[in-house]
Amino acid sequence: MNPGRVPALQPYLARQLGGATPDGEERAKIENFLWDERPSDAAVDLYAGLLGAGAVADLDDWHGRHNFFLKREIQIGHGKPEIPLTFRVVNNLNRLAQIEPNLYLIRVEGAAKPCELAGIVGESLRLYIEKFGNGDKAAEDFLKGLTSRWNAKRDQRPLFATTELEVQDILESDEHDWAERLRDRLGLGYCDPGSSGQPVEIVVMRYTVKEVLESLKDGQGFPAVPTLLDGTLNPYFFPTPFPSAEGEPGADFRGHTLNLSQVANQSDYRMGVELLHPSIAYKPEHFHRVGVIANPVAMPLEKARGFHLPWLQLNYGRDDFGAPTSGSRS
Amino acid sequence: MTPTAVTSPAVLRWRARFAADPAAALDALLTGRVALGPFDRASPADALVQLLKPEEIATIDQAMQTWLAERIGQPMPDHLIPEVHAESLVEAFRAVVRLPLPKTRAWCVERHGALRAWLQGVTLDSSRDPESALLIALAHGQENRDLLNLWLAVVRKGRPLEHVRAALLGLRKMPADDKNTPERSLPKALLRGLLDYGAARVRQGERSGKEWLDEVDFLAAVYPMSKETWSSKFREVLQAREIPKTVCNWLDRRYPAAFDEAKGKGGKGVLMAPHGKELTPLLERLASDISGTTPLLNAFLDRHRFYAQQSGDSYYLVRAFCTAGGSLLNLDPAWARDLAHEAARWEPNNPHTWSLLARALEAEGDWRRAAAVYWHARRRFPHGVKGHAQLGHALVLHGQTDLGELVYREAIRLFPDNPVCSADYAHTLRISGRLDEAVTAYRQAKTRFHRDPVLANALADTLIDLQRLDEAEDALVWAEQIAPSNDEKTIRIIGITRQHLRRAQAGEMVKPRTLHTPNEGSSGDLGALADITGLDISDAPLLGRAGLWRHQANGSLERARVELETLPESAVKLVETGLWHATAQGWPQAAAYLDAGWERYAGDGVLRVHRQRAHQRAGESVDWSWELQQYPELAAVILTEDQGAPPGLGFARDDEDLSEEQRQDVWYKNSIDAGDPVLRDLAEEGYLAARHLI
Repeated sequence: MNPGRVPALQPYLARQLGGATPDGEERAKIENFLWDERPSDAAVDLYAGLLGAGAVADLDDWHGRHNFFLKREIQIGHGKPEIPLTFRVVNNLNRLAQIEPNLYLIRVEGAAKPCELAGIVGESLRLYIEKFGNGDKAAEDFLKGLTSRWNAKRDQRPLFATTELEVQDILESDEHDWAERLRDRLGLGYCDPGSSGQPVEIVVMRYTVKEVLESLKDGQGFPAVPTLLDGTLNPYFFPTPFPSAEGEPGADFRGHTLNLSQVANQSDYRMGVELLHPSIAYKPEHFHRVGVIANPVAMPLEKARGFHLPWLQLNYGRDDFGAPTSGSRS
Repeated sequence: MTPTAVTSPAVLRWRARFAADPAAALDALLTGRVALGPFDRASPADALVQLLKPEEIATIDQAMQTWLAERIGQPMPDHLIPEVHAESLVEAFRAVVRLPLPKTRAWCVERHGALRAWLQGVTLDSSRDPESALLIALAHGQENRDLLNLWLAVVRKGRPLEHVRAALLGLRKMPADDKNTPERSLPKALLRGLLDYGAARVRQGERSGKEWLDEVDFLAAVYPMSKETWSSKFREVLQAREIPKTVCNWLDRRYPAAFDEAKGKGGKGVLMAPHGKELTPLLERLASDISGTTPLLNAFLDRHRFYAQQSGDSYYLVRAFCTAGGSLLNLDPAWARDLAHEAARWEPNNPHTWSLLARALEAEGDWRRAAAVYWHARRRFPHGVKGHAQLGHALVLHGQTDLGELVYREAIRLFPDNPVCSADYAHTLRISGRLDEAVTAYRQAKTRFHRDPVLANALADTLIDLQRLDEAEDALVWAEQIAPSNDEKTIRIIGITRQHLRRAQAGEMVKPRTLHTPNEGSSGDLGALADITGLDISDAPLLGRAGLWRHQANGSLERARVELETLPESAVKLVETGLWHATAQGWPQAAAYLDAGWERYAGDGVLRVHRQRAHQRAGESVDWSWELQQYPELAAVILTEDQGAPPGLGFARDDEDLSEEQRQDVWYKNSIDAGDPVLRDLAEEGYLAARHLI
């Protein structure tokens, strides 16, 4: 993105790029902003307007103002007639209009919120899902009630998802750490026990592209390649460039998760796939699997980003993408 | 290797900030104004769960309590936007459940009414609904049955659905007793709540029952039992009190066997309310033997308490308590007040409880609190003519004659077809010694209600006081002519007046009725009543007076402005001031004023409707679709403004079992149908003010 279009950010970026030494997380966010070429000028202008006129003071201030933008333009309230910026005409360049409707998509959700609403614990949710899979009518009634409660509490924010094909190996695995491997593959750094050491319960949702396409009228349901403007400022996000003519065929139509699986060298690194789609109302049949993440992310952020960028440059034929910024790693 | 999330610079920064200033760190996190590294994408409550070590929970518990205490009742802080404000509160209450935070939860339990009253102005939509998040936080972690009243009050409102679901969760998660004994069975109160929810939906016009049956099915999965057992559980509850036929039909679709024995009498072991007939002899003995009757009456009332606590059915308790309280008003007003207060906690939308509470306080000599309750009751039940009349009467009795008259005059305007206010107004003039004015008032009323024997009789009686015996004779003859032959009470009263007249005609002095000297001594804590509504009702008189002065316009507008200026900042003040601007300067100015302030209470439906209404009245085109969708309880006013008339009632207006909300709808529709623009404005304002209260 062109910082010139976002005046409020310029002084902050100038400070960070001109001698300050931001830590890896802050640097990642600055890089994401500078490198993300997908937001249209109209979208950037909207962003600039909502960031306000006064200069952004620091990273926390940027977070706060970015959050205001998200609440107004992306994370639209439940039942509101507006649709997120992601799915408006101004973002058409990033839409995946040719995606196969029969594909299954996979999304990871925290299990805590639906469990709070239904008054159950994660293990009970797992049992209900299992019983539902075995044709139990009562379990279906329960899951209907649960999704109805949960859907009402969800805003219209675009949902990050991947294709089932991309993570099938993990989902079909019976190994105890499948949930952690899924977390790593999808770059979900927040699914981490953190200082508390408390395991994170997740629920895997599975639904078709067709359901997503039908969620908005007039072709507005097509998924999109994520940009920095579509979600929270997040060091585990990595923008995807437009491909050059030499790029991998079809590369235009994906976003890529930062893979947090621990690998020693770049050749073993594999980018994940991610896309954004409009929020859909969950149904009982969307519940796929409940898992527990008990172990922390082991892959250092900077190492993962360091492996990720060259692969993007290679796949998209874009050696110029991700040019070092002042204050960047050498 | 040290985990990434633990060594994250952002996490370390936040933790250092938390160590130095927990409340500030919490505020930054809840409002999204801080980088959290790996947890940037986590919701704030979920992030807190991962960020904090077990030994830090006590600190965050205290910080959360402080954070909420600084915000409760306040408008949105200037540095936020409504969406962030609402979500920060949702996340705060989620954190109470997730971490969990027992002290904060206990703090919320103590002031759940005040929290709810405040949060309804913050809620934007179902995904940004902190009131619902509060209810869910309260539903979890219950150690006694203190919140039973709250859950029942929420389900009986019937909407919003998410609040009802949270209340049903609260009933599910409530322990079996106040000693935190786990509930091992299907709680009866949950079933009663479910049936009451169904009844509320029927009153709101629901016919399909789909939403209700979905909840039944959901609960059936939570409490796995055979159909027979479910049926028997419902049957027990149905035997205690009937439910609307439509709800029966819905239930019949799932559990037809629930009705097998429902027509029979309660069997052994079925929880039943004490019989109402037991109360009558106790009350009859009360006046002559209060000390001997008190233990018996207490035991009877305790049985009601037990039944209500166990069953969730407060219907009988409230009626018994109000009846007993009415008998105790002169004998033991403090006891009457306690009974009224307790009944109001069970049914805050029952005007009888409020009326008894006000009268008991007045009888105690606590005029300050009584006045606040009278004014509040008038605002809460604008459709109840008695509430207006009781306030007017009390004001005159306590020397606020001009104000009392204004209350009466406005009530007469509000109820043009109801003789009660006119008669009561004249009566109040009479007992305050203004006999000529009373006669004028009676005569004016008589022109409107020519065939009202009570009015005619009262006029005759007043004329006797004035020794205008010929006129009294004429009035009394007319009363005797029009009194229905089957109305024994009226005929008896007319008979007494006839005796007065005869004595007066015989030259005997008849002592005119005079004012009782009011008792104004003690003054209790108004805050003690906040548990009923969540509001500090000490501002109720001020608010009421401001409205009255404003409606007088011209010379009284300045008085209204002065009253409004002393009100604390709130959505209600904003509304009232907006209406003041409309009267003083016109609707465009009112619209501009409301535009400038509404976002600080962006979730307040009543404020939003007033703002839209001001724009519409100013001649602008207004899109009501969001308000209509989001605030169905305000649809009557919205449709009146948008289409010129409220919707059809959808129920018989003479049904004896109407809820207060339905009675309000009937009154509102009648007022609009009268075609009087002044009455329409008064009705719209009154309706919206009442719906502003939880």
